[in-house]
Amino acid sequence: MPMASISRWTLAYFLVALSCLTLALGSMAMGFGFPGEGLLASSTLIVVHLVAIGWLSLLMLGALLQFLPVLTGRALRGASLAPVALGLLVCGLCMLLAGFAGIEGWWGLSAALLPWGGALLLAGFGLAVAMLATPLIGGKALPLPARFVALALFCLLGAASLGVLLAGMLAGLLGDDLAAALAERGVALHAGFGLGGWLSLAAMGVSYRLLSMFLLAPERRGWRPQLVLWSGAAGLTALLAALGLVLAGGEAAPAMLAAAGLAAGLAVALYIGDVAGLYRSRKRAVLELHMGAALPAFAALPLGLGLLLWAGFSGETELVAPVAVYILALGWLGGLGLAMLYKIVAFLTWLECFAPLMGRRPTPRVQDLVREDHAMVWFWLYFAGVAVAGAALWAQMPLVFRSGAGLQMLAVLALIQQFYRARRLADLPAEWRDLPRPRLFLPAPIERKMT
Amino acid sequence: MTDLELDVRPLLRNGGEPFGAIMAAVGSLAPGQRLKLFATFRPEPLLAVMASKGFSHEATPLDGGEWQVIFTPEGEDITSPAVASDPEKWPDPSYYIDCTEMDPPEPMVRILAQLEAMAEGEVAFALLGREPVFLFPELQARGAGWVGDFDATGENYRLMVRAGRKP
Repeated sequence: MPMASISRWTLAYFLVALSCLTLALGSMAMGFGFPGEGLLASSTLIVVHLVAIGWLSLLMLGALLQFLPVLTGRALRGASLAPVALGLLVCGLCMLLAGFAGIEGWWGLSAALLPWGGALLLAGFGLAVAMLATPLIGGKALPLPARFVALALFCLLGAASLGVLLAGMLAGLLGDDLAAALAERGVALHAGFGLGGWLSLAAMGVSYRLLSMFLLAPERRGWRPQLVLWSGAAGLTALLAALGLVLAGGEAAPAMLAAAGLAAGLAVALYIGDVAGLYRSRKRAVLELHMGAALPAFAALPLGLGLLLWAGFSGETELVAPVAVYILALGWLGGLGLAMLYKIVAFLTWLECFAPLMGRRPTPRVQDLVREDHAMVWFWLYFAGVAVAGAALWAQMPLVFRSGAGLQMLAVLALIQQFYRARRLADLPAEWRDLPRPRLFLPAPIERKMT
Repeated sequence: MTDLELDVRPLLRNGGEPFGAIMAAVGSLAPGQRLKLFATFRPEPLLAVMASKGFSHEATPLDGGEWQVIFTPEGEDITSPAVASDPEKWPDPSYYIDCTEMDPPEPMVRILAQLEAMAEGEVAFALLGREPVFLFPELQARGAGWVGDFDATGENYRLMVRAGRKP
């Protein structure tokens, strides 16, 4: 019988992820990186990888360690390696960022650190994928959300491997032909596998289950969600073919990128239809905050992808593509992540503190651990910040962009305080507040004894 | 099969307590074998205990106020480990909980509250919208048995929970 217990290191992943997000937003607010500097400047690369690896990937891995057994109904093995993977990823990320700084020769650092950082990251991601694959491999057919995750994990390995090659290119370790080919097309493919294949597919898969769970809506069945998955897979196959061509002969492959873009567009259009269907068919009349706060994130997905496709087909890539990527990374993925964290942190805290008491004494509801009226303001501010920053990128107004990023940083700091209060049971009604508080983010010292 | 005979009259006449001897005899019964007990009175408390172990009884008065009781194994002993591990042998559910319209973690709260109110061996049936994977460790920690699967449509999860011995 499948069992899901509390994943002991998930909150540590979340803590590192939130720290990276705050750092990245703070850097952007200070004018570090794009648009003040070039798209491929060291400072921009530092900020982008803080967001993509530090924030989004660690958030997703932490969440999957907890919820993949729920999606599959099968146990996850090797969970004790979670802190090792986290350590490898944090060290790898630090080394990678140091390597980016080394390209400019800042603080006496060297670009030679880049391949080492890439290798450590690949090892960390590989270990995480090995753990997460255990509930995915086995006899029975996987439920649909888990198949999205399986494909996403495959893309994670692809994005990380390509990242190692790019790091080698930047460190000057590759031959001229390959380096030139990678410089021209490699970055777009790396981002496609990372933001699209890994993070977006995983978020889509997990959201199918979470939405039906938290909205009390019947799960989406039939051809539509299947076609979302198959379109996504087709788009990734086209990306893979484009990558093969780049690695083999260095030929740019616009037709394949166009095919990948169209497949992604179809997948997202169908997916958004499914999301709208889930919200419409829900049995819960009143939306909880995390479900309400997810709405702007869902809106950001078609907006960001639409802009990206338009940029690709019209050739306006230099101006529009960064806007699209910003909206996808911080509006769609980041916004959805923050909204779900708001529920997950409270839920895990509730499970840790009150599961042993259930049925033996009255227990609070999960909602009692948080103050939705307080947190709602900060979600509004966050998405307003994304809109301001995105629009300012388009309008080429760097100061406005910085204030948008600053607004987001303020909102994230305030939400971190809300998560902290939930962990400390600070918003619980007085009758339950005398209970022993859980640790903030480290695992509980002793697991409950199972008889 | 011959009945196992146990005469506790000498023990009772000497002021002894026969319960241990009777339980030892019950434990040594072959499957389907009856226990024929001789006592100096009609052993009312024992009848209830044996009923809970799945034995019917036939009590016959003898001369001098003494009694002969024949215990016949009818059903399964609902407290035996063999029954606890075999859901086929569980009694019919005494409680039904429909959790299909509850959002998580309400089903877990309701099922555990019901479990705490149940006597050992009692069974509750719950219908859920999904597999309650976070509930299972808690059931295990509380010594309860459970069995569950999705119905044919795959939309509802059927769960039977059997209360174990209270700590």
